[in-house]
Amino acid sequence: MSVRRVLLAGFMVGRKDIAVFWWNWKLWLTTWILRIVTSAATWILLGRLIGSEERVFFLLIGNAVIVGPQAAGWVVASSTWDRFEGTYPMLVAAPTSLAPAMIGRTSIWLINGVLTSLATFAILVALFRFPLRMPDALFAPLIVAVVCASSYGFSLFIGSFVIRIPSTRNIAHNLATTMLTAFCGVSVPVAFWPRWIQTITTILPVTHGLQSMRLLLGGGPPSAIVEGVLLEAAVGLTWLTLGVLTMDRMADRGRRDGSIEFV
Amino acid sequence: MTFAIQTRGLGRVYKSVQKGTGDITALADVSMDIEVGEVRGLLGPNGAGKTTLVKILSTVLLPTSGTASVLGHDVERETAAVRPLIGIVFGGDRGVYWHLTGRQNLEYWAALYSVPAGETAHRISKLLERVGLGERADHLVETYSRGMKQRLHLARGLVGGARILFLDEPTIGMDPLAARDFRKLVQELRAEGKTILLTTHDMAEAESVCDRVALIDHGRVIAVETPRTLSRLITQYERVDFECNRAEIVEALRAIPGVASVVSLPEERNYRIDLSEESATRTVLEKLIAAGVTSIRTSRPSLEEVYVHIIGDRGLKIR
Repeated sequence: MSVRRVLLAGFMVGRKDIAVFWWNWKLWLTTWILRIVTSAATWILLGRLIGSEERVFFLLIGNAVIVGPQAAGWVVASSTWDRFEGTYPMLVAAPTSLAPAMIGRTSIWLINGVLTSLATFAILVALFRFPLRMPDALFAPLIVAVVCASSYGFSLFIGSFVIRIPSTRNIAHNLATTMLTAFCGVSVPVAFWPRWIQTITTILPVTHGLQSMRLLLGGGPPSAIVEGVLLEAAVGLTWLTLGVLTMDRMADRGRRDGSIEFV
Repeated sequence: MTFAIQTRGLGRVYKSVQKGTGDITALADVSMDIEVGEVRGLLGPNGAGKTTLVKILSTVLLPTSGTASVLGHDVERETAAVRPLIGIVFGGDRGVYWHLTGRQNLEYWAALYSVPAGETAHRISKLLERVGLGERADHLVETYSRGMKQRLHLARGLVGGARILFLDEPTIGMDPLAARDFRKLVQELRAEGKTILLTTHDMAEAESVCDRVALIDHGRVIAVETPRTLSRLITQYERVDFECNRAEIVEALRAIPGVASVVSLPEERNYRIDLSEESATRTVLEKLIAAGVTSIRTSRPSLEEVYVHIIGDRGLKIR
């Protein structure tokens, strides 16, 4: 079995999934991005109303980055689509492990996340005349990609559970996104929360990457930036590995309890 | 001898999830041998256990008792060996990706079944032509009719080179013409030596394509016979329909040994004799001819009659 081939074949299915939402990039830009930018801009305007440029800096970076993980979070819901389409039992019965097919199909949401975050960043920077430190800012897309990939791994892990109970997909997606948005330093510093929540955020995606992004655009030490990016990648890789392992486990549980239906 | 499919004491019990309700036995003590190249029908009402059996054999469900093997590989312990050998096709609209074209659907499944990349395009084109979708291969599946989707299902089941096909109610919802074409395809596959397990509650389907039919109900296999032999279970032997306006002849026929029953048919002066002994056929026919009756027809009961007789006239009830 060629994992790469299955990933690509799955990606072909995912590409068609996203085309159901936005038929072309113009539609994506004028509906999805417009909505995301409007929402993010509201937070930044709040910072401006307070009259603090430091707040504006904090909110702009936080809100431009988080829209990526939020968009990548659609992985949770899309993990269940094979159940609704009736293709899940055939995926389970196929000689290939479920994971490559699922990752292939859902990875389109990772790409959507990265592009959403970058587009939002670009628009917000222009809109609020946000000064970018060059050439440091050229590394920003890399951090965005790592944060989105890390969140993708986290969402895939949640998705691997949700596959068993597809009716919970939207609840799980919303809870996960809310948790990342609220606790991982997007609009409120992580230090604001009680110690135990702070501890939890260290194993959640976004936290370390967002910190690195702020350091990068604020002129922080390169070692701290790299450390944050590596931590973010490690967190994402851990969640992704757990997701991959859980996916086949969940299929096995479905085989045991008879919850995999043919239609 | 290695059977295509072999089960021994196979059973599946679902644990009750509601208080006060007992466990549900979906399959109980099923033992069957299906030879390579055979088309075996599984005939039974809704909830009889047909799909449960197919699910177990296709590694989507684990049994709670007994064993099952596919071409000598245990479905529970050797799933990796079983899966490349089988293809699942089920009826209805789902099970294919509507937003992809027919060809893209098959490309996806070809990748999952590790069909060599160099061979994929040719195999898919050939399959699509074969199932009559060659001209619509690059159209989105959402534009396909139900019959076309079903043919694509079959092509999907075959794309990985399956030697055993599980067809779970494949013609459900199809119009008669599409169903006829689909059965023709199944017959072609049989001619190629594919082993097919077909679940259905369509008698005509079972009669037209199956070598043998297993009647299944309440999770148990009641009988496994050829469609023709199974038919004999009701009247044992032949049945004679005739037209006659003389009551004394009808009465005389009733007295012949081996005549199980003589009943009036809805058409005036038409009767049906069900025979319980083969030797009675000749006697009955001689008697009718001697009495000057010329409108005589002999037949065997349809599988539907066997089905209703054995499983019982349950109507729409599902246990």
